[in-house]
Amino acid sequence: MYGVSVDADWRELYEEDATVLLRYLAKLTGDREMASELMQETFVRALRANPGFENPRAAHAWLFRTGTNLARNELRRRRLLAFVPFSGVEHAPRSAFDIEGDQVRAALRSLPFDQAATLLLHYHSGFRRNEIAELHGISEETVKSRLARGRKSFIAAYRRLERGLAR
Amino acid sequence: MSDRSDIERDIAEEDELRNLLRSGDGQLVAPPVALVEQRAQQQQSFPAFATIAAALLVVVVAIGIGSRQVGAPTSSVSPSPLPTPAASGTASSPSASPSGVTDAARAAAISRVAALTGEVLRVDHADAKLVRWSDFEAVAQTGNAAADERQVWIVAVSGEIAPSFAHGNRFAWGMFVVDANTNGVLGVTAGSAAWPPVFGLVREPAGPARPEPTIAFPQPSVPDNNVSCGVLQPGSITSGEGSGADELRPAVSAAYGVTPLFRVGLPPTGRPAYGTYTCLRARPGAPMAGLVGYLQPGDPAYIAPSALTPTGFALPAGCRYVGEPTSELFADQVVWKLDCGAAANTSARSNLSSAIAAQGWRTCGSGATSSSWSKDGRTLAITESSGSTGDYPRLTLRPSAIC
Repeated sequence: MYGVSVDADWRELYEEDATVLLRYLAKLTGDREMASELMQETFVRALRANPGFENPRAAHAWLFRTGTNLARNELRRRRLLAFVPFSGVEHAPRSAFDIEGDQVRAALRSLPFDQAATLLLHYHSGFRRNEIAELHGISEETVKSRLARGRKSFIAAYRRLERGLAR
Repeated sequence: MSDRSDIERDIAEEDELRNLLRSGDGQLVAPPVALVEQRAQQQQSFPAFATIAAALLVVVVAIGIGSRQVGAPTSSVSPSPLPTPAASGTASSPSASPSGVTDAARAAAISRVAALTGEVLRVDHADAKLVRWSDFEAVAQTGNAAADERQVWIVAVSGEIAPSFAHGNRFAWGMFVVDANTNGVLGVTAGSAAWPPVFGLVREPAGPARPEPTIAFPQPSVPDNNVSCGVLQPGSITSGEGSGADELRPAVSAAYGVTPLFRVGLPPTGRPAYGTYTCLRARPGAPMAGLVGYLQPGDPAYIAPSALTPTGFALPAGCRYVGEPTSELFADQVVWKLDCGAAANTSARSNLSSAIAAQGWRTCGSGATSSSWSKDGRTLAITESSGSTGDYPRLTLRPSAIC
């Protein structure tokens, strides 16, 4: 049993997964501050819920599922809060002049949330298709379809941005 | 045969996707585990204090309407019932101040406030100071009797603030009081100036007064004669600034060089057609300038269209700009395509880096396909061509410096 309430295991889990989860959430939300909050909140929930995992891989999946759900809720909440008349452009915080990063973020934001999450879980965080299917509670066929569509849409959006066209 | 090439193309595309999605990852590292453990402990302690906190919220979580007379008028100041777990901190007694003010602690205080997503909708700039609450009250004079001797972070934020007490009204700045020991948010003041005027008066006792934040924007190299030129466009929509009127996009002025946008209100008659390069003298104003008059070629203040090139950079011989520059307002930048010949276009960064450095730009770093430099409060970047037919390397100018 891989219980997260045991100090040693908890810290080991954090050491192994916190940074990779943070990087995934940063890409998914396009906002490092939000990603840091969500990552910490994910681990706090793990610590408090003490789910008791069979193995580190199961803990890994739990963390990414919880983080993804928190990100989905938070982005939905922010979209509602951020809506104001005359404001058609969502604010995209950036800490540095990072053209590629801006393009990647903008291209990801052009995808539906679940498509972006699936794409990132597979190509960014290294989850296999069957693991993503289990994580999201969907069929592997659906994962394949999301990956195919997401890849095509992302590349197209990224190319448009590379050519300097409006996103 | 075609199946094989399809597979190879798929593999190449997947590799590219992996690289793109993982780009920039190295800059992000999780905070120490102790921070998360502390957060978990705070959340666990919340239920025990929930009743007390709820009862005290209206009284204690407050910076009351005060008699402040400093600077721009404060639009609204009142209790802000922030539903944060850390509100339990309001039941705690004052305790010793943290051992020292570090940048990490300051950043953590700012992050705490930035995380109040219900109230802080956009952050353009933020700063924090660690003081005794009573000292802050002495300066800010908010009239809050609850201000005691505890150490608090005063976190100032400019951007878009919607305090819960304001029933949907939004303000340009907010000043949050955060308990330094419990991380609980004790209250918020909000106003409509560019930056909380009282924040500059708040002094951290541990050291000398810190300099006020500076907005990274190029300083005018010559006096502003209020002449701006550029391609006339219909009004666009910009987050936080509203929309409407007309715009020069991109724009160029003697004082500020090339910028992505100059917003101006033109009268309906006698105006140039959209898409026309237009030079005008304007009366400064917000959210848009007013027209004084149009300038024609020959006028001493007229700026020729050829000036719509990256400020502070001249293309080396053998290179030319392709087409017109475009403004990307979402990124606050102007983009040019450039052509230095087929061979040089495949490696624009190495081809142009010596010319850029020779003109006084200092490097800010390089990514997989782009590099950036800064000079005089501006940032210049080169992005390699994708290699597709008809595509060119791009040169990008932002009117702010990053390094």
